[in-house]
Amino acid sequence: MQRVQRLTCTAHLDESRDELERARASAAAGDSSWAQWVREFDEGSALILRLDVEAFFDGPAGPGSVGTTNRAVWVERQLHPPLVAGQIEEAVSKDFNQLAAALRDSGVAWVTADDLALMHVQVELAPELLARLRRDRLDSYPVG
Amino acid sequence: MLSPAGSDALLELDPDLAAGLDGESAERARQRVRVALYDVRADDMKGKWGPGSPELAGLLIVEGALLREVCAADRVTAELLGPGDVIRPFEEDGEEDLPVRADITWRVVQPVLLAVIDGAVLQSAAEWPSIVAALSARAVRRAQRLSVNLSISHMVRITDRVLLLFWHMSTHWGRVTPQGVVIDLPLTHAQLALMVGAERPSVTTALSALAREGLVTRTPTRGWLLNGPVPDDVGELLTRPEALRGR
Repeated sequence: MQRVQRLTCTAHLDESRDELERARASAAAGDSSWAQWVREFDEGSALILRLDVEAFFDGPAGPGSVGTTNRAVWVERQLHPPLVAGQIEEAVSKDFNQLAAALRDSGVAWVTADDLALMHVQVELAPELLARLRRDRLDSYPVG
Repeated sequence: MLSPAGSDALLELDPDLAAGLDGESAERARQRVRVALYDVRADDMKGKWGPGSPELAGLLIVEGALLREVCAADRVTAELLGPGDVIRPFEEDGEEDLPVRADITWRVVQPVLLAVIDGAVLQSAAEWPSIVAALSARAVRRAQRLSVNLSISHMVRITDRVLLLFWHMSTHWGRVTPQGVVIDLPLTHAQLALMVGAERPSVTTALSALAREGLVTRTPTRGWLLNGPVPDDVGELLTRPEALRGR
């Protein structure tokens, strides 16, 4: 039986100059939403991520995986890493049309983007992102 | 800030209310039924009306846009209101005794002109019951629109929610142009998130995706431009937008 075995998403820091300049240009043009993101980024309370989403499956030719990469995903920095993971899990469904199409191309016929959106996504935060969150936490939430 | 803005004929301000009248009756009603008007330009409308008089039926939005944010059990949702909607902001101060208490915040998205539908207006309109019926229908229409919003906010993918919300809003707010349907409302990502039951980051991500597909883009006046067909199959639209655009 062809089936999806699991979905994973690995989040990396993706603070490229291009994305920041694009956001700053939108903010300068009067977009208050982007002005808010830029302000939060400059204050250290927002992060820009790259999400590598992968679907592992059992296909006609055996086990395999397909993946997509989603750049420039803005999230709010949180004290607890699982809160950041929660934001990622909600945002990641954007890629599921592409992922479902890739699965169909790989022989996993009976899966739609809506099916994928109902599945659990295992979100992992890359070491450099975790280190940033840890550093931010120590900087912003003094203990002792 | 609320400030008096004179008075005018109700049916001049909202001609759809005359839909059930013949020409002669409509003309008479136009002359007889007049309403007091108020401008609303800031976000402090709550409480300005005090406890409503039993004869105060409501306030009819003539122009502009309001966002009614409802906070219950620490969760916030938002309802967008505009021309033709009837609101009763004075009623909300007396809701403390309800089992689930909701705190209401009004936000002015675009400067608003309100018409006061009070006892005098109802009396003068009583000769034409279809006007009163049309005002009642506005309240029902608002509930129906909210129920569609509720369905949209239950869709699994945030991108679908945002796209459908825009098309849903277009029935009330949309203006057809050669480029597509324009919604001239400067709604922020945070406000859209409240309307679709999502977090702000996922709405930002969804809007970036929709912009890349050319389905929803910003206008120079900070409004929104909807391209392509009305999405009867959202999943297909997002998978193959180029195939469906201009269908």
